[in-house]
Amino acid sequence: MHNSTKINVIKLLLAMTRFAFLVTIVSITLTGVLMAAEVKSQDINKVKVTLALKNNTLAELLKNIEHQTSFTFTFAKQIGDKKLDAFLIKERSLADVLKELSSIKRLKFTQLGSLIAISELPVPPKPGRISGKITDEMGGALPGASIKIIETGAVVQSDPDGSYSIKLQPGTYTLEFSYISFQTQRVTAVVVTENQNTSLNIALKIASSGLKEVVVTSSYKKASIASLYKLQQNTSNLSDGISAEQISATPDKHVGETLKRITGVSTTDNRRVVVRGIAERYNVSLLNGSTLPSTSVQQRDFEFNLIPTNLVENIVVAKSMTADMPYGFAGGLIQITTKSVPNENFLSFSAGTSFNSITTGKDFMGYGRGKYDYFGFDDGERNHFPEGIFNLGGFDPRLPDAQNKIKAAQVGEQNKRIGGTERLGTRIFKAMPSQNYQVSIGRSYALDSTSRKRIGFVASASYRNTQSNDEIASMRRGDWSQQPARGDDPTDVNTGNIYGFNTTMALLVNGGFKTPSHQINTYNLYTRIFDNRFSRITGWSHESPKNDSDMKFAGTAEDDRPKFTDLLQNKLSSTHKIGKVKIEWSAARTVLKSIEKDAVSASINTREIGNMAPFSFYVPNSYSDPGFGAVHRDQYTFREQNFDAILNVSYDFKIGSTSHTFKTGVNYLKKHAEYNWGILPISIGSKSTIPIAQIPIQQWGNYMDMSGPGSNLFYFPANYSLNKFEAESANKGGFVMMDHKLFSNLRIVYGLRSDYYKLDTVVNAASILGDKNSRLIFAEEKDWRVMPSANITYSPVKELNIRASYAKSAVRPGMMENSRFSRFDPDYGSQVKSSGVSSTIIDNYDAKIELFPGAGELLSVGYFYKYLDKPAEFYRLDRENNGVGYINITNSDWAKVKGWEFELRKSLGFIADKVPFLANVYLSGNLTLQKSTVRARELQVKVLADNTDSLYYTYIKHPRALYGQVPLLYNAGLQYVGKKLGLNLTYNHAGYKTFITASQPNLVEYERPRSQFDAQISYKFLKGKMESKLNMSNLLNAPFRHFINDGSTFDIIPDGVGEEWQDRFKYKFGFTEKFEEGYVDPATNRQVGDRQSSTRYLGTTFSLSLTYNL
Amino acid sequence: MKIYKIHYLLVLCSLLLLASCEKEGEIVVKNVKALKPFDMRGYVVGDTLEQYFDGNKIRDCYGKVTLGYAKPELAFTNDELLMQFKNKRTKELVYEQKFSIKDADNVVPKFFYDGVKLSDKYEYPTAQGNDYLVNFYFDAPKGLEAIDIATDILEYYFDANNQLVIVNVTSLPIATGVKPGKWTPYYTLKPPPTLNPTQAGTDFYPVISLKNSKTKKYVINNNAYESAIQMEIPDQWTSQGKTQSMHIQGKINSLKAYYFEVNDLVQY
Repeated sequence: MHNSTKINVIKLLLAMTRFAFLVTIVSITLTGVLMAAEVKSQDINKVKVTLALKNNTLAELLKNIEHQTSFTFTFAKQIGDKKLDAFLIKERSLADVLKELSSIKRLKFTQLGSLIAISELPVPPKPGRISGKITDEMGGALPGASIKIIETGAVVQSDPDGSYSIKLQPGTYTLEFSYISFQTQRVTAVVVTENQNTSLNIALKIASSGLKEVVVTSSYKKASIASLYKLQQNTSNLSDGISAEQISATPDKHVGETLKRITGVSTTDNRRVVVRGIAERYNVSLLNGSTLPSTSVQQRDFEFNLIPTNLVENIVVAKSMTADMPYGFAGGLIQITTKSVPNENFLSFSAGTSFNSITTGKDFMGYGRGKYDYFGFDDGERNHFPEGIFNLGGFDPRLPDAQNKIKAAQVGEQNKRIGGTERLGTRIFKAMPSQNYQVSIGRSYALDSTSRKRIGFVASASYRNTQSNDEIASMRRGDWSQQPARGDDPTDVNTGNIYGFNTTMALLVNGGFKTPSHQINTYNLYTRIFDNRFSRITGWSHESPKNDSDMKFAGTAEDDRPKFTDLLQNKLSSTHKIGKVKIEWSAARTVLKSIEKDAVSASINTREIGNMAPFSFYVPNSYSDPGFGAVHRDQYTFREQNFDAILNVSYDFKIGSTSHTFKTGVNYLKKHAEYNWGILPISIGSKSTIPIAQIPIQQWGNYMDMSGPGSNLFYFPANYSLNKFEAESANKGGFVMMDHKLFSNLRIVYGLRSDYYKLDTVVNAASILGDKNSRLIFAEEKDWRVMPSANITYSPVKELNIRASYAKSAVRPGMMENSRFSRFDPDYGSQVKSSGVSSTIIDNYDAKIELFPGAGELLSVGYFYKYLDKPAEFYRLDRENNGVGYINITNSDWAKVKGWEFELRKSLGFIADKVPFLANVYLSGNLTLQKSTVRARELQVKVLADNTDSLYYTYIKHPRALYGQVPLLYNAGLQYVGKKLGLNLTYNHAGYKTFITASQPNLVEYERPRSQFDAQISYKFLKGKMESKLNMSNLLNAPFRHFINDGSTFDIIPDGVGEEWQDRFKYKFGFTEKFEEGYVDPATNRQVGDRQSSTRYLGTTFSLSLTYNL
Repeated sequence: MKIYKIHYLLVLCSLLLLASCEKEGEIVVKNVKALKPFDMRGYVVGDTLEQYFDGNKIRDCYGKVTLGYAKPELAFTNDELLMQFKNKRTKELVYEQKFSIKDADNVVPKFFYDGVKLSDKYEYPTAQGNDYLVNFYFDAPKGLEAIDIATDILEYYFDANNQLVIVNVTSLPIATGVKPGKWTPYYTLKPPPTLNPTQAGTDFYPVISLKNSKTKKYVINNNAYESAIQMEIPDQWTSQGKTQSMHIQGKINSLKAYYFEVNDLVQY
């Protein structure tokens, strides 16, 4: 080959290479173009897919899409494993499908041509919240104060009550609090955690340097501890309380459990409240500022366990008065405030059950039940009071029809209308565990971007069924035999049970609207309670004690009280801040309706027959003994309607560096009560041939047509058996009050309250024959009363408070306390009646020194003295001198109560700083010592020459203790509050208590000292969302034991003269006023010792509850 | 998942609620079909009899058996009732009888149980001439192991307060060291002799009284009159003999003092 050819070949090869390169480039370019054209046609917005999948994984769904399109998905296995419940799509764009998947599964889709990569989106943090209250150093709320978040620059203002709430992303912030003429305070290192509330209360100091701006900076921890000091120190009156934050650290489910955590407060059966050892009659309970009618007609009590703790804003127990408190008290004023607008949304479910060691799974007795008892409603089986029941005043069953105004057939027809006796007579059921369920919800909505205008509500619905059995180991009260007939006979004892069946349903709905200057709240509570108390006591009576002949076997007294109660309270309250003027008003309507349907008392007689020892049978009344008699079925309807309204205006002003508040207001409370009773004794006619002992009481109704001696059982109401009590009272008042905050360590509050009270009884009938001619003495001395009050608080150093106060207050009588109605109470074994009750006027003097060694720690000593003018007391009267008597409520002349109060609350952190566990352990205790003396009086009647009665009192010269007093009371507690685990041990001891008083020591009944030990364990699961609580109450099964200083324990004083017991009698050697069991005298074989009038065991209760917060 | 948990909770709660809805309980005071007249009489010594009705023990029977304070009636809860007597110690069935609701009266025939067998009457020897035959069966209370039985002739008068004053006792022993739990032999009681008063204004009164064999003191307050038992004593004018079988049950009263319940089985 020659050279030119070689060159050509090389050129050709180069040309071919260029061409190939060009073709390749063109091809690639064309391919790209072609491919681009293909992709364009596979636009995710245009590609339509149809999917119909159920219970598949995401991988399966994506595969399905891949089949329908040319797209390919790439993803991690855990993404592909995600479950999809149902996914139904018809002809929707792929983009829409991916958007939907993105939102429901939090996924991110990235397209690379036909390849779509899938990844998981990070979970965004939920915001947290800072909330609290801004006050001045004296505890006065600072409405409209500014709170600036330095990091974001946002500014919010406090509400009319000084409270604020800010929503923030998690992080650490610095907050600046400012208010005109107060030092601006900057708080650093405030940590906001996701979905949690950080509480920060701030007490601002008055700026002493005029307008010159001073900013004080402190850390979060320091600021919150300081505010806790201030909260404790700042109340103007002597009070103790527990806030929502403190309650949330306890395992308590309802207010009944929480009350006893407050210093000096104890409760009986979670109902009756004893404050400073002073009985429930002298204490007042308010729910959202309004009094609640008692759920019991003849006694003051309210079931605090109706109110769940998660709805409570705070509970404050005031022990001294200021003029702006409209309701008088002697022991304490328990103020429970429920939330209206929550700080954060919540939804919680709670379910619980409880077991009692002497009740659950054991025999549970009662009369016939209704189908809906578990739901709190009657199914109609207890309807035995048709309209138009007439009394049988004109009917004598011994006489023939011709001589009777009311004919036998008319009585028979009425008997038929009243109905049969199928429900009567005791049945044995099995006691079930108690159960309770509750759902609570709280919602808060911001109406503007700064959250300063908010609207919200809280609501709660609860259901509870409790079955209880109190074992009565000894009953020697009232009509029951007072001592065994033979001292050596241990079987001669009266015993029994009180069975309680309670279904309670409650609905609470509160709502509110808040702006920086205005706040309107509404509080609504409805409760439905079915409470069936069945007492069954077997024993011998004082009149017919045990013997070996006809009283060999004990008889039984039964008392069944099925009571249905509806309570509805609606309240509207409002606070307005206009400049320096604050206006507060409220109006509330409360209606309580309770009906005891088919309440039955019956007696079972026993005798020995050939084949039964004993043979038992129910006995009807004699036809000659109308009234209650041995067996009667009754209906009691109580309706109380209260309306109360309050208007208060306060004006804040300054003189120099001191701040002052002038406050004035009026209040009005109108009550109307109506109590109807219908008592239907079941009697048997003369010459009856009904073999009553062999007919079960359930069949008595078949022998009531009055057609002859073989069918002459009949309902025998007398004219006083069907009657009523109706009364109305008006209580109105006004006050003026000054609150001076002088310097930073002295506060003086004083005022004058003028109070009007008037009670009018519209109808006041007697319910027993013996009372028909009796009168009540209702000696209200004055309608208007002026009651001054003054409180001084002085803090010489930061950690110390010295308080002194004086107040005059009036405790008004309950509506039914002036009724002539009386009824046998199986608890007392006697009739309970009133002799007329007027207001008690009390002069209260208090002094207290408080030392605050650290945050949440307290050491205090207090002294109090009270003079009670005309204190109302329950006491036993024995006019017939038969040693039994009855329980009477009326006023004594005067009483003096004085006492000391000590309190300690200390963290154990000081023992070892390096053991963080100990810092969470708190030791607490309080001790109340008191002494009371009463001058009792007795009403005497003298018939004058003109045949009119003259009434006068004789005064008992020997003083005694006031009714309801507990001279020694102490509580000790150990509390551990951990992050997950909570533990609480409490020990409560109450010394001798005067249960029923009397003018003679051998009628006075005391309760023996009692100690109760409780424990609570709580544990939080699921990041705190689930909480379980185990409460163990009355772990030692401590009984309630009452006694009377029996006649066998004292001797006659030789030559003793005088009208009173002490003049004529003295205790035998070895016996005192306190309990001494005594001995059996061998000479007489009689017990010499104190009468154990009642011993009652409640058992130990274990309750377990689970709460889930969403 | 949360929803399911709530469902479980609701189901559990509903179950508890439904399980709680017990409406009808067991009636305590049972229905009686009829109350019918009833009577029984008998005597038991030696061992106690237990009386059962339909398997339920009602009472112990010892000494004189009557209904006493019990109402003489039977409560029929069924149409028939089975009554049984069992020996308390051995639980051996001694006697049984059925009662029917249809019968107008229900009577247990008169019986005597000597601790071994039940018979329809108490057997005793007939006294000859004017003999007074007597035997004793003594059941001792705790602390009294044996007694002496004697005819004591009390010389007495009543003082200004109408109180009996015993000035002299003449004792004629009948039996000594009588132990509990078995019948003594029959003794023949003689009419007490006529005595001369030891002082003016007194009178004589014969009684059968009991002394503690160990202490030789009268068992009740060491007083012959208070320790006497009720039984007939022949006198010089007695012309008709008789037999007495005295069951003496020593008991302690509520004041922890002895007293004696004495029954003559012949009269019973």
